[in-house]
Amino acid sequence: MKLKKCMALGMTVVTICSLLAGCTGDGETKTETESVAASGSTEAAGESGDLSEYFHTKDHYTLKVMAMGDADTQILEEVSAALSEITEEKLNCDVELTRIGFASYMTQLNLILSSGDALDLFIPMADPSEYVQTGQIQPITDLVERFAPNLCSSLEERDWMSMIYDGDIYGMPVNGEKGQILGFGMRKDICDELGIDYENFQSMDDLHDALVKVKEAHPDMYPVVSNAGDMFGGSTPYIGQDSCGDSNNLAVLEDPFDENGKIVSFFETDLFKETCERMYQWSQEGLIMPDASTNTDSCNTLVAAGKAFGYFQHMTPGWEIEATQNNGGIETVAWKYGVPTYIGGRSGWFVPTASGDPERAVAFFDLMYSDPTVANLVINGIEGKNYVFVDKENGVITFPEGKDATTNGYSRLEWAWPNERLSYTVEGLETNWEESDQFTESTQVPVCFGFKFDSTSVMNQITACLNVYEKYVPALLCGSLNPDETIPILNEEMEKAGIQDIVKEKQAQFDAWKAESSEN
Amino acid sequence: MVEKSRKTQIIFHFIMIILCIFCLFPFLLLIVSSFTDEHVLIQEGYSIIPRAFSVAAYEYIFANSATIFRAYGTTIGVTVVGTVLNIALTILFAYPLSRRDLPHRNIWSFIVFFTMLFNGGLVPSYIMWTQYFHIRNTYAALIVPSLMMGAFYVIMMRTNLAQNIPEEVLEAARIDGASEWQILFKVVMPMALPIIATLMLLVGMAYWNDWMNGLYYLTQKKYYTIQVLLNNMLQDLQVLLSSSFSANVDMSSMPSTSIKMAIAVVGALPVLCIYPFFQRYFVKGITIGAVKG
Repeated sequence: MKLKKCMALGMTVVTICSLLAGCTGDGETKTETESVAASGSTEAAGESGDLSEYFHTKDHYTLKVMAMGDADTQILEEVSAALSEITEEKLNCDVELTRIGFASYMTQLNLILSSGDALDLFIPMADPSEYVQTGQIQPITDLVERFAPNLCSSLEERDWMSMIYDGDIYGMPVNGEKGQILGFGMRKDICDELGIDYENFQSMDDLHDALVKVKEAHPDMYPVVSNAGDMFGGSTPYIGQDSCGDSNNLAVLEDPFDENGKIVSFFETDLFKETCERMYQWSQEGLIMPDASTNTDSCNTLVAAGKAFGYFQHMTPGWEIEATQNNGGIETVAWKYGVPTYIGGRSGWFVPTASGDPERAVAFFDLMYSDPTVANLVINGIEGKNYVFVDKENGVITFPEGKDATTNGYSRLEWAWPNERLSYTVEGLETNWEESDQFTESTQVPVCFGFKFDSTSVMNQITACLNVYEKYVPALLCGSLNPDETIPILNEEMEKAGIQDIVKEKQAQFDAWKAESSEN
Repeated sequence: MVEKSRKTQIIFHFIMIILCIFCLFPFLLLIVSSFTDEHVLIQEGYSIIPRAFSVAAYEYIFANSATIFRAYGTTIGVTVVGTVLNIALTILFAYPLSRRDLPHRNIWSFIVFFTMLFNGGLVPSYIMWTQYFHIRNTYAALIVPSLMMGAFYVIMMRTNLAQNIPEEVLEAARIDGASEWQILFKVVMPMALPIIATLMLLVGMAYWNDWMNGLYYLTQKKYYTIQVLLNNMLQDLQVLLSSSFSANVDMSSMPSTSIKMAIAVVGALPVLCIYPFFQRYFVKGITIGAVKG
């Protein structure tokens, strides 16, 4: 057991070193990366020949792959067949693709993983730490270099960091947007009508003044709405802190970019207090929808129905185009604030421990990552059935006549697949990857990026704290509760639930991690 | 029965009427909102009198009839087959148990009781059904896991049979030369009709409303029942929001409120139509044992 661990550690060091050698710092000029990529691809071509030979010496296999999103059974069979045609030659295997809608994805995945059912490759919907802790996914440190050459040659060292647990690589990161920023999205027509200069907001006070104007001019419209009960986008209210190693937002770093930052209880931070106070004030002034914390409609639905002016959300480059589409064609603009933050490679693909052939699983990921035909098959489905070309040369597609994103039979979730950059783009929603790269370069990397919190020893405290969280925090962030009265109660209950144990444990692990990474 | 005073009658009627309103009001709201215009629904909220009448939600259902009617058909098929099989198994188990001359009767009873109180839990059941019975992505996935889970029904029927079918009747049948099968089909079953109808109603409802089996054992959409479909529609948004991908997904592609309501109406309608016909047996089946006691 010990020996195995030592060997694994050794392999990690070797891999990381080789990765480091492959990618010099991102400050270096682009031409160099391009030449590396170019040489990488010729090498890869040679290697993939070897790989194909290697796999043909082994038994034929059926690779089971699972991903999010709805898809018609018949279309899935067709996509699987088309994939198998390609993999038959390259990897000597068939591919069986399963896609499951969001509602049952987590249940199904957990059942498959905990029962040790046959599955070779999947993307998780939640933080994968739990799967690592329970041994349901396997380390692939010594597989990636040989079986995923294209992935290795295109990744920066920091992209791997989020996939390493206890010194082993467990996942393969997807290639998509790698940064995000906080923002407030709003209707452009109303901004224009009231002369709101959203591009030059300096602070929340400017936003506040604008919202007051909206309220006066359109009393029937809520200036700020929540997204189905969440004010700041998603269940992790990322208001500037970093949850640091997990996604619970209990013990956090108040300033993600402070080298000497200490782990603290989120609810004792000034950031939390100020945010709650501001929201409460806004809510008292009638700027926030009255039942924000119990609202079950999405913010997009509310804007599209003419009921809302704006909402908070995490944003990536090109957010406005997507938001306009999501809001039923009502042109949407955004005021972006806060620090552009590097989040890259947070979601990845993993190989379950029960997989019968991890080598082929890794190799198939590499194929989805590097082969445009495969990437487009898995992302967009079948041409003529799920999409049609508008402009074949530039790879612009649209949905077949009479179909839309929900009825085309193969839901398009490009960000959940290994490499969305290879995908055709949907007409009107073209992603500008240059802009995205520039944005990524402007982002700052949080100091705890790559740190993983092992929560096993404080599991009970976390459960207790999350119960307290559910009771007060969403309502506080929606401005429905008076922070002067509620925050002390919240903190008292959090103390009783044992939040300090979590803070201490996380601080200890964080210190150990920092010491270890500074050694390397 | 003693004639109740007028006053008590009025009070009880009053309470019942209130309870009735509590039950009917949400249902009425459901039906009305399914006929209300989506934008109005979001702008004005729910109301008992539709502010803007619209059949858009039902048009959507008919436009997507391929998916929805397929699911509907699956639900009906699964309910009919599942109920018949379940009742057959229940009778075949409960009737021998109700007979005092069954060898090792206590052991059989123990098996039923024990499994009613303790079960294997989700993951072991999942392993058993998927890896040994291979029911994943088959129609059996919707029927089989619920088949023998009804230990409660077995006990209910056993008690009912033991109390309502006197030993003498069986003896008489035997003297007339009836075989065990003839006794079961010609004597016991006609006498047990009320309890059979009651159980059919309970089991049928359970199959009709079941979405858990679909959630666990189905990954292919073509096997979805109407309840699985509805549950997925309702849960998609919630599950998504609690995941780390909420910022990535186009939430507006999720089905709108009025469509959810319309599917709920369509899913509940047949039960509403069938229920009154079974109701008289229902009351009889539950009370008959006690009354004759």
